[in-house]
Amino acid sequence: MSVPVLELSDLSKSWAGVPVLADAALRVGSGSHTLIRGASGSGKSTLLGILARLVRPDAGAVRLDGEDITSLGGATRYRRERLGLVYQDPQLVDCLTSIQNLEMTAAIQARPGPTPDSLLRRLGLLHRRHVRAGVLSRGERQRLAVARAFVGRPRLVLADEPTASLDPEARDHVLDELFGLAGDAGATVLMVSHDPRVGEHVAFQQRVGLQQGRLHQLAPSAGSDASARPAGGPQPC
Amino acid sequence: MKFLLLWPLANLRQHRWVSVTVIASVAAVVFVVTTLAGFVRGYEAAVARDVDRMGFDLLVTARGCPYEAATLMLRGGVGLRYMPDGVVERLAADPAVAATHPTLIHPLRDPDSPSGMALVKGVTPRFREARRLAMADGAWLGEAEGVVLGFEAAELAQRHAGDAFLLPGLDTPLVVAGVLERTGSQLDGTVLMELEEAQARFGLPGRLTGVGVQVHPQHRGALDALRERYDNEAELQVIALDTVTAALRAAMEDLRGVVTLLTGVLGVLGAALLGNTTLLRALSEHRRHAALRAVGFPPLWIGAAMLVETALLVGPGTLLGLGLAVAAGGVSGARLAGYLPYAPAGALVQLTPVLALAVAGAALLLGSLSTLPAVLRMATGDVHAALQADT
Repeated sequence: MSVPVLELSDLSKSWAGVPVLADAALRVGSGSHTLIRGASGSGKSTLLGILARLVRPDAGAVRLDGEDITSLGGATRYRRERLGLVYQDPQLVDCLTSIQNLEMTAAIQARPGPTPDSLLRRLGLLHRRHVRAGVLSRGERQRLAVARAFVGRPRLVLADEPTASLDPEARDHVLDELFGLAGDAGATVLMVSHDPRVGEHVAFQQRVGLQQGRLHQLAPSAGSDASARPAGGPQPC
Repeated sequence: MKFLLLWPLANLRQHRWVSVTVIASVAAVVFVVTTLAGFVRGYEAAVARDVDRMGFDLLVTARGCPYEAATLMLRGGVGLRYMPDGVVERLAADPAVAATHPTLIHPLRDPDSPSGMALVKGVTPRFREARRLAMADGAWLGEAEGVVLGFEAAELAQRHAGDAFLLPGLDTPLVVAGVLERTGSQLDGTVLMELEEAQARFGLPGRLTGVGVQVHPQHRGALDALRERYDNEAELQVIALDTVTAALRAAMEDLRGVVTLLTGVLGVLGAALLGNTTLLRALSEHRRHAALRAVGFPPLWIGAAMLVETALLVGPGTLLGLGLAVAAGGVSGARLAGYLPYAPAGALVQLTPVLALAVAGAALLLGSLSTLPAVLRMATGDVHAALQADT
């Protein structure tokens, strides 16, 4: 395995005294695609929240490129400069057009990434560039949300149920585009989903289950560049 | 930076009816506040102008209001009271007195007039200078033959300088020598005639109903004693300009207090309306704001966009309100003056650039302050919780 880009160790988090993560650990290699599966309420979103620094863990460390992000200052800057986020609900700015949604995100980026036009072209939305986001179809909106995640040339893309409300055709389209863009950018993808069909996508090198607050390997994947270990200590793939 | 304008603008366009309603509400508040504030300034200036133009330091009349007496007489009541002989001479002999302006007010029954009577006022030619009267048309008494009509009297009779004019009850036609500019006083509905001619025409030789008194500037200290001396006489009453001025000033203070209170209440109501609208918008955009914060938009940036959105509502609303206040200033002034006991002449709503800037600045400040709760809520809200809600 190459040097892990992301490493979670002994991560714990409780909500109102109920533990959702208990000594969770995970290592993710650079440029790899990892799926985290689990039932609703199993703590998948909390895990992504901790990685996005929207949630503070009770204990443990999260290292991105060897740096513990839980002790870093400037959460907003961290998300802007190092992360790409895609949610189940795209939460675009509906009153702005497709191109304006991307340009607005690009306007706050310090590092120039792919141009909004090139992203729209790549996602087959160029003909919809002047259409307001609010009137795009659900699949188009989610593709636009994917494009937005790559505007800032992210190191790590976190996707929380990005295809949950899409039909199978749109789902496959969104996943293909997300992995394609991640490949172009050399970004690492960490996706959570409870949909078993998402897990069938060939792009995932690693599939991890989240149950009772602990991460465990679901199935070995050919060419996997990542490993999950049970709570308590590192474990090779 | 362009999106700090583009995003709020697009948002307002998308919710255009809400935007139009808020802009209209801001305009209404600004219109009322500006008109009231402008009215206080304009009314104050007009009152000061009228006081300045009263011309006399004291007005000595036969006891009882001559105008009321004239009305009573026409309705069959007791006739006008005239001043005792020798008052003008006594006043003129006083070393404190600079000039005297004897007058005779005489009422005539006039069925064509809305009041049912025409008032004729006999004055000396010096009366114009003392009262600083301006001519709208023609010449003053003594400069040409005939009578001078007050502005409204001329309008009612549809007469101009040089026209023939028939006083009700008199067979001999007169000539209109001139027409006065509007004064906002009783003079507007009065026919002015040279004093001696009036006394002769109405068979009242030597009779006077009042005398205006001007005091030497260096003898103003003697004004109170002079007023008291003549006011103590049984058949006379004295109205002092200082008393009138003080009464008007007191009325102005009351008016300013009421307007300040109203302005404050309207300002608070406007800010509450704006704050409520902004907060409701922020609540409806709660998850979107959270998503933007999640993808890296600084809260300060989103807050600035929210403030720009408020400015885009308050700005046009303020301009519209100020425009309405300017356009409707004349009508507003007349309507407001209708509620007050004294309506001076001239523009009663005085709108100045300073007032407009002050109102605009206050509107923007209140708008910004009313947006702060929504901005604070956005900036301090739990992003993760907002994104997980209802998903």
